[in-house]
Amino acid sequence: MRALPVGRNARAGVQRFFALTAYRLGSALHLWHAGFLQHPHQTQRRNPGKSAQSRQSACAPFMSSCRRAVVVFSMLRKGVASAGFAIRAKRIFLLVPVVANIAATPAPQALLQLADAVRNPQGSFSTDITLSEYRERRLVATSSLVVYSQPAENSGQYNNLIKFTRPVDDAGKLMLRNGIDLWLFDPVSSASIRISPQARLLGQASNGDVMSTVWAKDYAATLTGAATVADGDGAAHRCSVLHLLATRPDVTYQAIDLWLDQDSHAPVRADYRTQEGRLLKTAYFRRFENILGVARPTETVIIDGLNPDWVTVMESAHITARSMPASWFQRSYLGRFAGDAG
Amino acid sequence: MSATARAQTPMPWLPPASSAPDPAPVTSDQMLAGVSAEAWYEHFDVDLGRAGGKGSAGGDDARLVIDYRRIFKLTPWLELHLSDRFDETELIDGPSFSQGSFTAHGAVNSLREAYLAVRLADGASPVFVDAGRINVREGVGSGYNPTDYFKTDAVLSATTFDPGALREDRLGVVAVQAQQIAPWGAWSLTLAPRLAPPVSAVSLDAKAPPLYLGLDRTNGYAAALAKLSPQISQAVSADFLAFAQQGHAMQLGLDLSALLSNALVGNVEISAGRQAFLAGPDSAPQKTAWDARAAANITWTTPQGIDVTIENIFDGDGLTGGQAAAWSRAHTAAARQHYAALVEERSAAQEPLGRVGAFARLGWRDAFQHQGLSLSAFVLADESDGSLLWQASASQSFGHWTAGTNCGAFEGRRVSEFGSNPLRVYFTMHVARSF
Repeated sequence: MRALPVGRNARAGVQRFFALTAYRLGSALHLWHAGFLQHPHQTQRRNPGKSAQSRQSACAPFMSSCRRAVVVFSMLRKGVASAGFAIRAKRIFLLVPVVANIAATPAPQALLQLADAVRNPQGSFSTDITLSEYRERRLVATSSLVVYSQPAENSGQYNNLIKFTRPVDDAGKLMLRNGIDLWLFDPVSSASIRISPQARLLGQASNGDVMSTVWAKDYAATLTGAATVADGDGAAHRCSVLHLLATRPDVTYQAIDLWLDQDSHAPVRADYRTQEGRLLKTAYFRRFENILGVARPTETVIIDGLNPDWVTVMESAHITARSMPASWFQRSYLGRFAGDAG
Repeated sequence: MSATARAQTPMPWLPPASSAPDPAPVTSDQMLAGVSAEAWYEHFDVDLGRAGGKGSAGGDDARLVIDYRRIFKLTPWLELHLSDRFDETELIDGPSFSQGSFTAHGAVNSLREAYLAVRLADGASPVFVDAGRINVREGVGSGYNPTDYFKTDAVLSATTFDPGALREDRLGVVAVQAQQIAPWGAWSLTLAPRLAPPVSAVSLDAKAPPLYLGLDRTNGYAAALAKLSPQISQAVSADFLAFAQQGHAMQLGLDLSALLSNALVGNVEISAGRQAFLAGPDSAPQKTAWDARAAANITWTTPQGIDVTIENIFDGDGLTGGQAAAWSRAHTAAARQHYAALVEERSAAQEPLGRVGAFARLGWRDAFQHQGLSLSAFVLADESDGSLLWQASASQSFGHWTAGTNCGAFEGRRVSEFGSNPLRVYFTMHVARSF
């Protein structure tokens, strides 16, 4: 490496240090801007409305109905006794079938909340998760974790603490997520290091796949139609189809097509996508069991979007409601965490 | 294609429900215990000219390592932490020379940690007190940790030059440590008494007896470290440190870590205080003055899961480029000896010799989608004298078994931080079995 000229005194050295840091940071940002380090915000700027357009063609009739329904509700709320009552009354009459249709189905965001209630028990809970990875129908790797989830006080999301229990190399490692704050603790080094959401620690599964999340807090939903689809057990379900768009850049998936059973509102299938609509993974939910009073999926089969022969099965067991001290979810506590004993 | 139409596409193959075998779970006891036996073969090329001789030669070592870590849960509020490493290294053939921890031959035992951890208060703000030998590690840097104040002279035996591994395989300091974790953050106070006279340069090089505790390395001076870790925000975290050591000026430290994007993490680590500046061969040693030591890095995780880290290193009291050049022009035996002592002292202290440096690392876990395959490489450069150290590593785990290899080299002029090391090239292979 080339020897660089150095200032005569410490002050010059400090200046040079920060200049070098700024230069290297600038280089990294340049790469980022050039597309090598892609950020969801940037892709949004590059393809403004592209995916929205393609969705719009499929959803246009329904969206139009929704808009009209909103107008109707707005009018009713503001008072029908105004001067334009006759005209409005005519519009109301014309839109009665639409309103009746909408009234039969909860609003998309409400549907999402119902789905969340199926996915996550109320309050704090823990879950044992086993991940099995298949390549060309052959089991190639397994790992297991315990996920401790606690509703966060302010955000409405979950704080998650993950304890790795298998394979042996990873046993005892901890991963903590509070919002966008993500930390990895390795008992060998006794050190906690901040990691980025893109850091991959679970094979093909994303960190977001195993952590408890509230979709309704991270996504804006639109209802795009209804369809009959098969769940992971092959059983057919009549489903409402939602399209979810992330409201924050740091979520695992920027867009989701979600099929929810029309009766139970349980998730049946999800297509996880990039902001441009590229398919990343497809998830099939299966093995519904009555857990804490609700039929919940205990297995999720995740299929790679590029290679359908890459399959991960995420199996949940021992979903248990429990109280946990808030200190468990602080980075300073990671070195003290001893599992269920506290 | 609409979502409705997509739903009608044929379903791909799904594994039958619960078809995966359920391997024996790792018990809590297994998680708290880690015992491994390692067999190493090490090949090295030595520049004997750098070691005071002539010419160059190759050599081979065989090494056996027993690594033991265990946490005994004595009661719900009391734990005993033990961590020990025993190395037995035999020279198979080649020149015998002593140059730091990598080439120490014979039996070396490193009692890394042995302490009791007590939980004194529970609830929302638990309090813990630890007492014994504790490996107190600080810092968010990757190649250099200026706020890792207890690192000086702490490495007794090593099989790698990876700065991350050296932080793990070192002797802890004998201390009493109190920590409280509260909703607003955490604080800790570590008090380390003086238990032996400080280690001398001669002792650093001398062969340690098998049951050497190394108290002169870790507890040669009484010291205190205070740390405050407030909860600032989700995206930014900070640790504020104050370190006082007998016979040395107080040092103030800051460890800052921030999430810059979905794939970028940035860290800054700064330590400031009065230090004695290194000088050139013709200059009298400068008096102590305020000085800063720092490391700043960015880690980018690629979509494939490769971690790329680049780090700038600054050591305000290190040699400038001019001073390093002056040392390389000094040909007297006294100057060479003086320079060698400087290099060894800074190396043992894990402080850079030069004022400006750089570090870069690539790490790839489960490389090529292959579970258990880890690849990594790093370069540590002294930009003041143009020398560098690089190492590339690969390992593959098969359940309880792991096989791995390292290779690396010290590059640079004979009178430079890394070029002065007699080791020129090294290559190691090892097999480990964990129990």
